[in-house]
Amino acid sequence: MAHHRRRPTLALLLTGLMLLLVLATSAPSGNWARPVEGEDDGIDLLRRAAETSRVTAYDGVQSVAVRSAGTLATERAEVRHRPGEGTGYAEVTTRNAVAGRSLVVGPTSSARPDERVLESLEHNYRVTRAGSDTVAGRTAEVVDARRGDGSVAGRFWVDERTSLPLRRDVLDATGEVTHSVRFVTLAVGDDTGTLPGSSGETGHWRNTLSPRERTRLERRGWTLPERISWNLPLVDARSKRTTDGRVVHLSYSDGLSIVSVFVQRGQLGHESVGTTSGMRPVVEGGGTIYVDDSGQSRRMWESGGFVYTVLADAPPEMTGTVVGALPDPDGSGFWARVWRGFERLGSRIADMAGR
Amino acid sequence: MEHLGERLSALVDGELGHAERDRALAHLASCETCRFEAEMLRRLKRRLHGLDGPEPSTDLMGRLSALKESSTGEPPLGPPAGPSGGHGPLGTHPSLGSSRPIGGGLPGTPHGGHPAAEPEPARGPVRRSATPLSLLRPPWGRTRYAVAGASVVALALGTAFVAGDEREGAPVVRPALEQYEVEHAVVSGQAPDLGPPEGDEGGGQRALDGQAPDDAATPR
Repeated sequence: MAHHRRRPTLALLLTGLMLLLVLATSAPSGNWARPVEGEDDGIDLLRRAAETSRVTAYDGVQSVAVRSAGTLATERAEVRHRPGEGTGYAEVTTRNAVAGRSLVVGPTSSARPDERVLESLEHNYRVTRAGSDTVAGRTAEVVDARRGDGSVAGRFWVDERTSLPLRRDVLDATGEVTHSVRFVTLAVGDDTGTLPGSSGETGHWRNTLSPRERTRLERRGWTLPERISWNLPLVDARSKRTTDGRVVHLSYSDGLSIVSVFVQRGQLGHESVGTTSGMRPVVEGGGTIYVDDSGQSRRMWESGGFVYTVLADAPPEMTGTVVGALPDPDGSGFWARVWRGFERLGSRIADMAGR
Repeated sequence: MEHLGERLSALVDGELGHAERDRALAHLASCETCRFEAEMLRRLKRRLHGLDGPEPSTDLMGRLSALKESSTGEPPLGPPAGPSGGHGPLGTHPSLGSSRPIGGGLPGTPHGGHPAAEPEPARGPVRRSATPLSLLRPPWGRTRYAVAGASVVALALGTAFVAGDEREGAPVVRPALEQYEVEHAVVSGQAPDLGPPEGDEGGGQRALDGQAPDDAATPR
């Protein structure tokens, strides 16, 4: 009898184990579905490269290529970095040219969110060393960032002699380069040249937005998420006062690409998005979003009294993820207008309560 | 001969004593003038009795019935009916609703000749129109709440509709795309696009070469 009594218990146990097995195997298994575990023997080299790029003087020509419609659109600029002074960028001038456009980024140590980007990279990919190569005539150590399925999502080249970052590529699932930043020429250690004078372009926004300030703005109706998705955390937040009011710049990164989100109060008028900016209106879900994919991905729309502008040198799916996580564009129907009115009233009440 | 004068009114009202009444009646038998005046006084008194009292408003009746209903729990009824017979003078009844005079109109004038003085047959206790009022009251209460709710919803939707006007919201802005691109490039650790302004296609280094830039240049 005891033998018969155990059979149902055993059957239940086996059923439970089978259920657990089914659940485990049916979990999302896409390339981006979960963090990649394993030894990251290349992350230290990348951290050293980030630090070196701040404390080492160098001059060079940098090339930035972005894939769009099957081709790579390439821009080049002269780069001059002087520790303690900043980094200057200037238009590459042709022979006998009088002057080009230029700008200078100050020497703030927080100019780039390198550490948080590297943390995201370490979390999302397996970062391993992958031999050596040559970039700009210099021997470089290669570091691969691999997805869960083992495919390469990004590749870094680090100067073997100075540890300066020489090149980085972002690859899509088919292995094609979608975004590439590389030095075409590079001279290290010669700090005799001076930084170019700025031609009027504003440099880096120095006003870092603290978490407390970001929370305060969120209570007043701003949408400033801490994380877009599991692999896209906020790595940097800044703000700047303009003639149109405060503009907040949020940067989200998976470790390879950075997606910038600019948020400001206001709405778009006919004069806001002209044909000169190259953006075309696309109606989605009753609202209008302005799109430009001729090179860098750009999106712009209004929602609930705020204007969102997204800039990305990233795979299209990442740009779509960021846009989808932000408020939908305002609709134009009756209920859309009523809903917009409720949002505005709520925002005003929150403003008054926050004062 | 001395006429009755003030005593004539007391006679008609039945306020004289027996002796005084006998003397007055004896005088009436011989005095045509006083007899005529007594008859006129009696007619006037009957006509006054035939006049109807002021009709209370339906709202007042409803509230009075509700008061009674809430205090006693009894079904709403009309005011207590007074004694019939037409002997009660105006204002002598306990409640306003019962102040209607009971009794017919003047002889020969069944309708009283006045819209407010329509005589009412004096046949037992009269039940007022309390039942129709009680039937009306609950639907009015529900309708009142429904109308109030609908008004609040309409007001909220109307306010939101006005506030949601695109022209009335936040000011129209023009995002500084060029500045944003520079900011994005700097945070991304890459050179910003410093090429010529759009429309100047002749200069700059922008190229669509279909592949990543090669390492044509050599390090210094």
